[in-house]
Amino acid sequence: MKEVKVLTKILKANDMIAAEIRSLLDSHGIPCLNLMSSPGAGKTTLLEKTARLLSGSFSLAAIEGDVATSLDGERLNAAGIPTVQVNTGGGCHLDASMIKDALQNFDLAKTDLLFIENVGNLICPSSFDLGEHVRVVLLSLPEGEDKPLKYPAMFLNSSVLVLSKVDLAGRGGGTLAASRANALKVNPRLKVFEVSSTEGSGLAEWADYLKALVAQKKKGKTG
Amino acid sequence: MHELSVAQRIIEITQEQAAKAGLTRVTAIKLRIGGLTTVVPEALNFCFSFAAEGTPAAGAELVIEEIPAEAKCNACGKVFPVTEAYFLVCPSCSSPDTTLLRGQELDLMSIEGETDEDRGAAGQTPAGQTSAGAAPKTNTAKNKTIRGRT
Repeated sequence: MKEVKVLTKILKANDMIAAEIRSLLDSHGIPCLNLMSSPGAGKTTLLEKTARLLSGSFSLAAIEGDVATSLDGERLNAAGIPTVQVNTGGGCHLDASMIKDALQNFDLAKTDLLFIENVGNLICPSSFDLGEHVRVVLLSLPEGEDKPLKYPAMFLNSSVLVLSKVDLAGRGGGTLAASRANALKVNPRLKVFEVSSTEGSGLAEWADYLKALVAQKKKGKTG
Repeated sequence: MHELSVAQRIIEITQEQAAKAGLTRVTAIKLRIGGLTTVVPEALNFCFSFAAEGTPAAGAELVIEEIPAEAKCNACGKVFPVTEAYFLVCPSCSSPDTTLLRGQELDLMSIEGETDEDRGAAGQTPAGQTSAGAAPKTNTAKNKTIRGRT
């Protein structure tokens, strides 16, 4: 019997590909946001509205992850965001190798901002680095204000929180104040946006944030 | 079920390391899993047991050391467990300026197994001696206060 010391991160292979992706994006000055949430929290709708606000001034691109169908990819393409649909075929999350493959379909020299819409799931995606610069978690009010406490890893591992469907406040589900407070209790460093994609509130702040990200990345372009 | 992806990576690393060290059969794999990783030991064991079939890791035991999450307050210096009650806000002075110390580990520490030589030697020893370095029992998730899975 023999014991062999290994001491390695189990997801090292994924992390290495993620680092490669991040430096590729850095060399083009492209910020990348990884959007994560439960299914139905409004990721695709937020991106559709974002396209309306930004596609005049920036070239956007998206990688859309779903277990099955290209429904969301079609929606984003229709909204004017060139999108590559990735189907995980049952997999509960995207991993870095899927992103690396998908990136071959884009002309990075002509891209200003990349979105990754992860598989709808408040648990698994938080464990996988995709080479993004910003992890964004969406929490829609109807899901209930207890979600950050029940699924803390997702909120701990994100740096931006979009509280979505705020127009539905007072119609069951969580209150805005409690949803926000619970998320900040898990991770006090979250930058919070309160958005209603259907009514438009909060979208201007979100768009300003993205514009600033693009400007900042372009300045720090490594290539 | 991202535990399946994690199990597959464990098997890949194990195969690679076993080949390097000349292990023909792996009996135990030691892991360190932090309390904030969302990897559930029972689910990992389950996925591993079938994903390992047909590899040198088949039948190996996952020996899991769970690392409870801990953070340190940058304002008052208190080290505190990260729990549902206060997560990353200091329970002592309420400062949100804290640093996570432990809880995000997802590490493969070591593997244990037999070389062909061991097996040859084992064949010549009296019955009952072959299980002499049997792997310790797998730790089954005692301490999983903030692991999220519905």
